[in-house]
Amino acid sequence: MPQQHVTPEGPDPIDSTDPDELRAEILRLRDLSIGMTSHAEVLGERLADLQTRNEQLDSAVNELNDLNQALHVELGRSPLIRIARAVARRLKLR
Amino acid sequence: MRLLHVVSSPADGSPCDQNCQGAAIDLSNSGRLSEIGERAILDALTQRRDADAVYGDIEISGVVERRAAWSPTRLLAEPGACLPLAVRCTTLAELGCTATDPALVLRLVEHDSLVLHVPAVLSRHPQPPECADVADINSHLAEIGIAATAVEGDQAGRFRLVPDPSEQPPVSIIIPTAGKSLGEAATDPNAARGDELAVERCLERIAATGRPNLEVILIVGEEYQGDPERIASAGLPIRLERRPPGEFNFSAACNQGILAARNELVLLLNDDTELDPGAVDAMAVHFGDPSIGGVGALLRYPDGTIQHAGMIMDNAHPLHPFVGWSIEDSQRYGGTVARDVISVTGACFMSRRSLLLALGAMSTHFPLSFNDVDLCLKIRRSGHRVIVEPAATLVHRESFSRVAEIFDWEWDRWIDRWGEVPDPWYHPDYRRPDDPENLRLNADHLEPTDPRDHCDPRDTTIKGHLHRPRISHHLT
Repeated sequence: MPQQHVTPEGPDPIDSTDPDELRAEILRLRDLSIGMTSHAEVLGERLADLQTRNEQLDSAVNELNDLNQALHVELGRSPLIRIARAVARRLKLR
Repeated sequence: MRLLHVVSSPADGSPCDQNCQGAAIDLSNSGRLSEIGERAILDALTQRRDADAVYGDIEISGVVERRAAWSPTRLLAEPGACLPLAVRCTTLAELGCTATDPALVLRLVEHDSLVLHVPAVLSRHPQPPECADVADINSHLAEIGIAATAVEGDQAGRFRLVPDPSEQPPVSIIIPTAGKSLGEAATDPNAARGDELAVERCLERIAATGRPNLEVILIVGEEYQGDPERIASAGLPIRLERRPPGEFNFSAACNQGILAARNELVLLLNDDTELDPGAVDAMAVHFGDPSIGGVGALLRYPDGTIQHAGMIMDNAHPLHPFVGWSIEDSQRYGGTVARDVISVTGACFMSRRSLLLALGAMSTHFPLSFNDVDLCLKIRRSGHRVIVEPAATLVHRESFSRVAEIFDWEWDRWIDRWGEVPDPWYHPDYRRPDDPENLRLNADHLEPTDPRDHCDPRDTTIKGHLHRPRISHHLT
């Protein structure tokens, strides 16, 4: 993959005294600027997409919590649990 | 919006006053709206309050014609391409036109109107709607600044432009070349002389066109096989530009030529091409229209079949329709009609030097592939149009000088920068086969596999979206 970015150690073409090199660098920076705008749009959509998925996951987690609570309530009402609790209470009274 | 006036003769062409908030559509000669036609038109104009007009697909004698988004250039060649058109009554009043005026579409272009396309059948007709004639188009050409005359085209209702021979603007032709010989193209049946350089043949053909006002800039690097000074005297005003040492970057080489060019119109040309006479003028004539930012041509393989006639974008893949087709076969799908497209190939691409410099010219981020498509998208985003002019023809020994391969890092950069750009001129009913082995066999995309109505109106805005790949991205 060709090197695209100026490394801290390497020479920065913007310091060049060669007009051709400078003009080429100006073109590169103009292109980079347009590319970044477009990239930002794509990222914006990806972010919105991730937020939507996040909200969907949040909503699924909430649904699971509700189900879990309902299950606990249901378990509390079951005859076996009620008998077990009654036995435990009587044992404590002794 | 609630009101759609359906008019059917010039007598009822002005059904309302300029304060009417409705729209009017001409359904002369027994045309009628489809079941969804009225609702789709009114919904489109309600959703997009900035739109002046809307049109859709059309059924003529039981045959559905699927249409592309708004293309002012297509109207020069095929003025019926977006009829019937529902136009806001307020716009009609501004233009001083009636809904039955055959030249209404051309007035909308001159007015720089926003016209939407609904990719669904909105009306049915026993015969094609009446459209602008050659006189209308010629007065329109004068209005928009194109120095050409319209004449009858290859089919009824189609026209082609004949550039004014007295108007031949100066053009700089930029040719990056490695000086490879034609003999290296083993499949080339026309390579009579194996030691002849591709660039020599290319220059011969340019000289043979006899077109004045040309400047040729050859970009040569250290990989050049032979003595470039030898070809710099091919009977043309040729300038040699030496590429800086280092790995070959096609974009950087083109940019070097663009910077060196002395003319406002520049033609980027591959060295393995052979221009036909008239190709330069056929492209250059469009630049009389200030909205034009890039013009491509029709490229043929040496066997005469189509290699390029404009590009389409499908699921982020830039593709060439009509590959391997005969030019005659492509007529049915408008392959021979000048029209707006999302992109054209950089193998033969004309543009304005000032515009290219303002946009950073060819992106060195894409040294080999995608640089032409990227440039076209940048031009589109700048508010200019990119068109293909099939009257400009040439032979191209595609990628004879390099292996046609797209690397993963190139694809990653492409998706990173643009994501998925929906192509407004590619009908949503058309889809390439979801077969990674057949990506190059993309000539059959123009038959719908699963036709359905898409009622969302579309304009010609170019915007990057998140890419959701359908299949493997490898272009094998």
